[in-house]
Amino acid sequence: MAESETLRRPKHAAKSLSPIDGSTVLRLPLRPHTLLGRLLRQRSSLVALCVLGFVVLACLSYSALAWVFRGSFNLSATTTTSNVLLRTLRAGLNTMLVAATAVMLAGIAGTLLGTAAARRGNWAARALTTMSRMGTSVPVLALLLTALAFVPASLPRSIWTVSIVLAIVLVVPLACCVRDAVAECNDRPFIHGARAAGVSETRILARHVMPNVSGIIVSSMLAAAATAIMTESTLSFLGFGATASTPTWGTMLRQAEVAANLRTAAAWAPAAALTLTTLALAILWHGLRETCSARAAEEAAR
Amino acid sequence: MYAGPSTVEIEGCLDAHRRAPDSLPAPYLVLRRLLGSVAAMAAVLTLAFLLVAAMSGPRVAMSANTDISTARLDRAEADLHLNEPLVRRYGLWWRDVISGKLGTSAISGESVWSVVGRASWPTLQLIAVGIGLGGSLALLAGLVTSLRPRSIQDRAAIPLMLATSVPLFLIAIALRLIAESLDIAPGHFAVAALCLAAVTGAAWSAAYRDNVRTILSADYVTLAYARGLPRRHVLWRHVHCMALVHFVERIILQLGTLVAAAIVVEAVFARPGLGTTLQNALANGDLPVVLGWFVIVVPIIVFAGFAAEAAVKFGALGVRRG
Repeated sequence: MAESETLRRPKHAAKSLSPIDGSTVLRLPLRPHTLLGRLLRQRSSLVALCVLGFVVLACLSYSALAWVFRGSFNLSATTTTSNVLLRTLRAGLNTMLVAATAVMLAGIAGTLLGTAAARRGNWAARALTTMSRMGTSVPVLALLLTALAFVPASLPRSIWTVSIVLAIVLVVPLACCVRDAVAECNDRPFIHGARAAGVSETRILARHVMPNVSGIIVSSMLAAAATAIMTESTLSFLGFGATASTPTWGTMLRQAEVAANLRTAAAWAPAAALTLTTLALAILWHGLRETCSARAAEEAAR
Repeated sequence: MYAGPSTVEIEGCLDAHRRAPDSLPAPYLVLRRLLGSVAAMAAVLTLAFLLVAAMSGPRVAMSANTDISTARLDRAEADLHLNEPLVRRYGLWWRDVISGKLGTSAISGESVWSVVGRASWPTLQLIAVGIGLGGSLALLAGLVTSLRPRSIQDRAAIPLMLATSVPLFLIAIALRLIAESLDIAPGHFAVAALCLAAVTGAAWSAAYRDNVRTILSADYVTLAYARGLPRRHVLWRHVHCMALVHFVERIILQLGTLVAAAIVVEAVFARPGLGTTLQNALANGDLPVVLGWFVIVVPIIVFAGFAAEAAVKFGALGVRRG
């Protein structure tokens, strides 16, 4: 009854204890049993989502703002605060494009590979184990630096090249997550029941396994997005990212470092945007992971 | 993912090795794991070779740097067998790697062994202090925060988790600015080591905390309490001992991540080391040094990881498994 009241009157958001960590949470007019509903009832996740949404919207509104300030706006030369902010938004747009492209590519490839590798001992499982072992046996940053330093002359070092290189690196951890989640789901009684009832493997995967592991896939993709943004900005800061025509937050920080402007807005603005974005992604990832494990524990206890 | 300095770790990527069946005899498992490590190392070195030798035309990459004299360019070309076709060049390169002939630097004319060897000492020092100080901090923080869920000290661990979600180079820059304002030389070893230790310590303490939580919910801990063992005994003998073993294993398995972190820290604090050497070699097109860097660094990381895993898996640390 209390739930339906909340649904009807969202203005009177009630406070209660989170089922996950016991903290005080806001009751929002969301279906409480869905993952999103559970996630947004945690105050930290809600704040993180708002911050992330604000940063993304601000970056997306760059073109409109650049048009409004077109008279007093020169991207390259001056370091006035408004120009720095506009440059930060433009760089943010590039950074997010890199991260989104890399995570989408890695998400698709990682889901396919992880699902294929869930059955122990097949070629995909062996390939994934070897790749994950390769990942722990080398400083990945060194390989990335080498790959980007020797990009062939015919391939410009654009944000798309950086995205593809990052996607290749992110596939392995994402596929490992998917593999573990799918393998765990495959062991659950309702999957055995479906198999005994003669349901085809494709249908089991599509109708029973995927809906159950989607939360884990999304949370891994959030972590991958944070990793992509951090790695891209590190590469750009070290001078191996995309070319200066498509600046990112890392490039802006490198320019501030080279010009010894680290104590000015030219460094603080991209640093703050970078920190806020990665923190928001990490908090959302953490919240979603906890939500998934809490739901799994509830289902197991049922 | 791995996958870079100070990353938000994606769960499960380090657990791949734990999926091997433990029922097989120990020597067979050791051998299989060793062969797996060697195969992974060979694959990584092949990848490095392909990136360096095949992608951009190595002669072009080196001759773009006008500092390299023609004589040194010819020498590097001979060292890397650039006049041979790719497949034969690959075979000759492996022969050189196995016989320890890594050639000479195209910039200084010095042997690659001595260039990388000289650079590895400062990085080793940095990593050793990072592991020692960071590991101690992580253990302390992990011990304090892990035992009482939802307590004040547990909430205090949240900033530690958040510190691992900020790019390492930003934390390094912040520390450098603080050091400058305190009139400490920004390239001072202590500042760089503190930076590395703080970041790795935060990441490891979060991992230790998660590990203790998992162990606390294990059946054998419940059984130990049910048998009436005192809490202190259960925590020290059954929980922290087990968590400590995984902690040590984790640190050594993450040696690659530590080297990556050292690359960033050395770049920000302008300190000599493996990272600076690789960056300079990449920027100057010094291909023999780039390839030699991988040939020297990768086996060290691989065999340290193998030794750690073998030690944990096969009882050298006094743990009975299964």
